[in-house]
Amino acid sequence: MIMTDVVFNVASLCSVPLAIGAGLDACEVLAHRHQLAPGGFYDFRVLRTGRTVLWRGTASRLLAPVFGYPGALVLPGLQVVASVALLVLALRAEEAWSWAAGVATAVIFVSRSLFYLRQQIGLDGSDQMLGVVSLGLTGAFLLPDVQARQVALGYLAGQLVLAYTAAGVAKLVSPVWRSGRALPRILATVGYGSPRVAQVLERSPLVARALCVYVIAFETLTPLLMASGSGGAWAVVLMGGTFHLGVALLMGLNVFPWAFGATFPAVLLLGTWVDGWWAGWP
Amino acid sequence: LSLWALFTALLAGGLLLVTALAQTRAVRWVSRLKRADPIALIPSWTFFAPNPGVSDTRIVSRDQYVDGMLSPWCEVEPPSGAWFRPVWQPNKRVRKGMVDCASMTLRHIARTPGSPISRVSLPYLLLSHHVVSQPRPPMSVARQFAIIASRESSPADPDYFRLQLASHWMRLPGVPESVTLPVSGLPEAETPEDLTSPKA
Repeated sequence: MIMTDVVFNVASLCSVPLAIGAGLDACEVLAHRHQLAPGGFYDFRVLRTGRTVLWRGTASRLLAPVFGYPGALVLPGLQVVASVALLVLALRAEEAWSWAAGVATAVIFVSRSLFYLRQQIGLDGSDQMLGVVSLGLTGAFLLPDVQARQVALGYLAGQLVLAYTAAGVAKLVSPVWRSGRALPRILATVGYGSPRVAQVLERSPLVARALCVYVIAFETLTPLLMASGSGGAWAVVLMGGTFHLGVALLMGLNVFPWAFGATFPAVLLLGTWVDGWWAGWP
Repeated sequence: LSLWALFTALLAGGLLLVTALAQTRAVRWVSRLKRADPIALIPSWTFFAPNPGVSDTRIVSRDQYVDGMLSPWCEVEPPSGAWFRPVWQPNKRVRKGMVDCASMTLRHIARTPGSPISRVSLPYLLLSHHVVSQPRPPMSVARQFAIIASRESSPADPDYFRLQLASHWMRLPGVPESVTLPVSGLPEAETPEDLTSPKA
């Protein structure tokens, strides 16, 4: 019973940033909805040429009303409704409503997946993480067995560890990252940067290099930190949280903190499990 | 372990394993699986590495008027540096889509030099359709777009401004076929060298 409570509470904590991130993202799509309309960048008349399943066959006929315009607005619309419902349910945190929270995360997962199937191009890391989190939380709320729900939460934590490790290793093998030139150069762009901050870093190559080394070290050492137990898990969450906030402020990636933050409670839970494993070690 | 837990563990473990292998791009069947994954179930986690984007990709277009005069270049969906960007950025999907399409188009042209196939690829079609769909002055008969890379640096920097692709001229919607394009031959590109030539 206690374990059931813990799993439910952690899933509820994960749900808050998921609801905010998915809701924010869907509101942005609705605010800029002409991108989905005829003549917009994501005009379905053009997009459907990219996949056979959207072009011919039964699936294309079934999907056409939801993928055309204005039908496509249903997908972000559903996501906003499900996000608000999930936020309310997560803040109330009543286990009797676990099924409703599961339905809300399932609606977010399905509507986002259909949206990705329609769009095909222009997805970023926050889209991927929101998909991972909504899938994992659907399992954590709806699976009928507490061990299975634990595994679903473990999946969220596992994907975060994998994300940081893969990003860290890719930076570690990159000369431009190791030399410290990467951050000032990325930040010098208008699209993903802050040219004024980039100028400061250009003038202080030691600071730029220290920041690059810090990002590489924190990301590549994530598995080791996690293997050390809950202390390491807190370090991952604190460093990851500040990293994503910094990235949002400087690079404008505004959904990343919510998408990645939604895995942090599961990461802390994984840390306590590791403590338990070490305690039982002969 | 219960049957439910075993099933969930197999599914979650399988997804994590495939995701880990997909990052290496070394396992052929995993790469094929990732390409066929339409809903991003297999994520790519190597953000801004190993080769981070260090310039802004910009799409510019210009019009050809009925008398053969050309308009100045103007930017389609410029990148936003607005102060509220960390909280609210509704145009980011269009910007990301355009940047992705531009890099995919350039890669496609580099992979299949001289082939007209790149002009019917989805990224090129999305870019050209979006450019042609922008409002047009009444005297415009055709439009051309270009992909450029730029950096907020001094003009002495070789990456300050780099032309990467100039498209062919596209007849605008509603312009009848009977109207001949005064400069249709310029700079219609046939080879990658033409496409990236400064003459465009």
